[in-house]
Amino acid sequence: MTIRANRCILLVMTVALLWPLTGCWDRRELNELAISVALGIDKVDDKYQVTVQVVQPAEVASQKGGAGNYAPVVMYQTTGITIFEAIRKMTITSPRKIYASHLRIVVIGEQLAREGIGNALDLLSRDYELRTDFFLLVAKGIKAEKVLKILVPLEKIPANKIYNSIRTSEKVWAPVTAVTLDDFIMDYESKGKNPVINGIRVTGNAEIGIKKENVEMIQPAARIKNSGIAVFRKDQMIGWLTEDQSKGYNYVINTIKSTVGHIQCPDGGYVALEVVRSKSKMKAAVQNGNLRLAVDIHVEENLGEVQCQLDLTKVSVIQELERKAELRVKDLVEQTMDSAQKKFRCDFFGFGNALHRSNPKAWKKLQPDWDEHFAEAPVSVTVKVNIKRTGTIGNSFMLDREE
Amino acid sequence: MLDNGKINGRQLMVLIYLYSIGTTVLVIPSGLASVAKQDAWIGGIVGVIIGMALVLLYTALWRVYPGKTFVGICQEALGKGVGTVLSLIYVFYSFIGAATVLFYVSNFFLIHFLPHTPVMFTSSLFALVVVMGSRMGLETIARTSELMLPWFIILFVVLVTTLTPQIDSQKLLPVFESGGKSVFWAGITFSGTAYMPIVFLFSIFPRVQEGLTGKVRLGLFASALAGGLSVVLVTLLCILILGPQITARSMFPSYALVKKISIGHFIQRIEVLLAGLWFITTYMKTTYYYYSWVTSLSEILKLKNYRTLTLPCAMLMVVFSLIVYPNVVYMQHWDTIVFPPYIIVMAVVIPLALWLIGLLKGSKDLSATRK
Amino acid sequence: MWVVAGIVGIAGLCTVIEYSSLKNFKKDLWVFGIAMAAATAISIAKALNVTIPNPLDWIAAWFEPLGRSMKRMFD
Repeated sequence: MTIRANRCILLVMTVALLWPLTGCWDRRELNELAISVALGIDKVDDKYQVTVQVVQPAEVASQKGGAGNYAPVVMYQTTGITIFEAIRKMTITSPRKIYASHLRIVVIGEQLAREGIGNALDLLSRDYELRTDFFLLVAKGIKAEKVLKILVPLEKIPANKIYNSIRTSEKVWAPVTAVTLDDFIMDYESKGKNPVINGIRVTGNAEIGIKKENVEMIQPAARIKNSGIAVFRKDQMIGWLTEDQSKGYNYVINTIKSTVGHIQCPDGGYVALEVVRSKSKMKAAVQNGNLRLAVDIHVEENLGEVQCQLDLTKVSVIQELERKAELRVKDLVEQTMDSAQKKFRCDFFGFGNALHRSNPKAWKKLQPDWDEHFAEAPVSVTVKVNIKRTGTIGNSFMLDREE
Repeated sequence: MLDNGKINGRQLMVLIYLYSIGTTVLVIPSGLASVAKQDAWIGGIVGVIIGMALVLLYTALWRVYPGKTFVGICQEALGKGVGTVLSLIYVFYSFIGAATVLFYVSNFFLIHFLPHTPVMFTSSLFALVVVMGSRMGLETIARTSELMLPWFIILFVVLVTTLTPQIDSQKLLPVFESGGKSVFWAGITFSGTAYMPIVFLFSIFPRVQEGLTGKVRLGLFASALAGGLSVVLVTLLCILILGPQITARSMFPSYALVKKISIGHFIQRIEVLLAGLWFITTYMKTTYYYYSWVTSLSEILKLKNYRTLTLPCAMLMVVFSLIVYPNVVYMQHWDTIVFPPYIIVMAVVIPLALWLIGLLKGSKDLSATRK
Repeated sequence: MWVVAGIVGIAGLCTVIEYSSLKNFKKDLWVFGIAMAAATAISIAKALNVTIPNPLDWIAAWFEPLGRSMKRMFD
């Protein structure tokens, strides 16, 4: 071929190559996406009722609060035999197809949770669009859709508020634990631990909560709160843990980064202790054919608030406080273990996994009815507390007052 | 044959490194985890050891038949007739290999990035680049792989460093619970995907400029080892971060792994960038399978120029990539049940036999000259 | 209909690209012609949804029993 012909062909090819760069088959323009930030799943008459909270970008983005006429998020709801169908069906009301990659939370109604959520979660793990960093929540005592309707102050998108609140609480307040889909599935599949999910509830007047008035008042009428931990056996919810029990749970599985608790002073009054470090080890061993469980907890604490007459210059006072703190943590953990063994008869801590890791042979024998073995096994809890610091001052100013 | 391109030892090293990572890193962690559970990484290490033995076999075969491609080796060892038949079988296998790897690549892109684009378009686009590379000759491909290597290393280092904070070492326990047999089987599947396809690189071994010197040999071992260990590292990270059950269940566990990268809640959701890693390695694998196929076929048919066959073979490859695995369930079944014995016969038994024949012939020649 | 035309078009394009380098080599031209014909035929067959025998099935016929016994041996 002549050089000229060659060049012509090259030119044509280059121009032709520019053509696919303008877009591709699977393009989804931004204005074709309905970005959903929260998903709520309930069961109504044997069908799944799926609720989706979709962001209204115009309302969220503008500085002046937008036109102020639209809510920052909008809710779409459909029912279907499978969740996949229900989500697609939303296009009969929604102008755009739901884009689920930015999902922050998935709320499951308590009724559905008690029936079993394994089937509902299959879509979430199978779909390619979903990432795995969203939190699972169980709506306490109500349907999931009610939680997704409440407007909240400080954050335009309620799902973001819930997500951030869990993320922050998990680090600073022990009874809250963040459970992602991967965590749940891992716990479900491992035969030595039953899954748990954090709970969420709506307090106050939910009727006003769904209106704009809720965020126009200084004290909103309704609020979304994190509430205890829901315990599951396999994929069915069997009950709630109280606040103290949730704390105990987090102590045992070693997910506490920081929290605050109180103990009583010897002369009345309370002292607030801030936990700065907590390390726990779960142990399960079989001795002479008997299963024995043990939890070893090391806690490092600071004195946070002193509401009584304590002389903090004496080392013995600190040691006394440490003893009391140890008893308190021990009590929390024992309460939780009690409810796990006696009330739920279900190992949701993961002692089975601990036994699997340390003694696979024994685990193989005990695994078939592990929950029963777990319920009968004696547990020994050892706690060691070190109180290291007392904040920026020594003795409280109340102590020095000359009367 | 009209491809006089020569590659030097360093390019061979880069080639072997990217080739052995190839599609292995995409699918192997899942296979290993389903067989050996949390000992998948031990299975990987066993696979690397088996692979080193295989590389030893291949270098021995190279030494016995210097300067000959696989077709040449078959014809020299078994004579014209049987040799040609055997080399045709090899050509057929590299054709199947090219079609299956193309399917893997387009399947990966289909599932995660372009779910509604017809598979034919992504396959054809990819095949177009493969053909372009092959037509330009071996030197071009080797230099491209050299160019790609720094990018690969950078992304790989990013992957490992950003994922290290999320490791939960408890997921590795109890160690060695699956027992020796499962681990060994895992090792075999590992080496089947990573190391046994190196037998196809025999079509390019004769092009190595310096021949089989000690340095080249050492380079070969080192890069094969590095490639295998990179995959073992990714498998280890999969087990440590995702856990053995999720790894076993995912279609592409390494992709699920990179979805988890989150540095300070700021650098996150960068999984598409890291998919570029797999893009590079799978491209190399497809190109070498295809190149081996076309050059071996043109050698058997004694064509003036191997480039005549590139375009029709490309069309065949694209079409067959759509035929070869009718659905992913068939793919998983075939890969776990049929593939191991198939590749052991092709890549271990037959090269071993050829090597022994070569040794015997060599000693016969030697004794003949002595007489 | 359009797909078949497209495939024939692509085949034609390939022939045009290769023709000049093959003009003088009889053997190469023949091989190219046969290969191109085979590829076009199979592509058209696939486009028209004719079931094409899957080579993996032939390989599976040979190796599946061996594979199963190997897997059982190591399980």
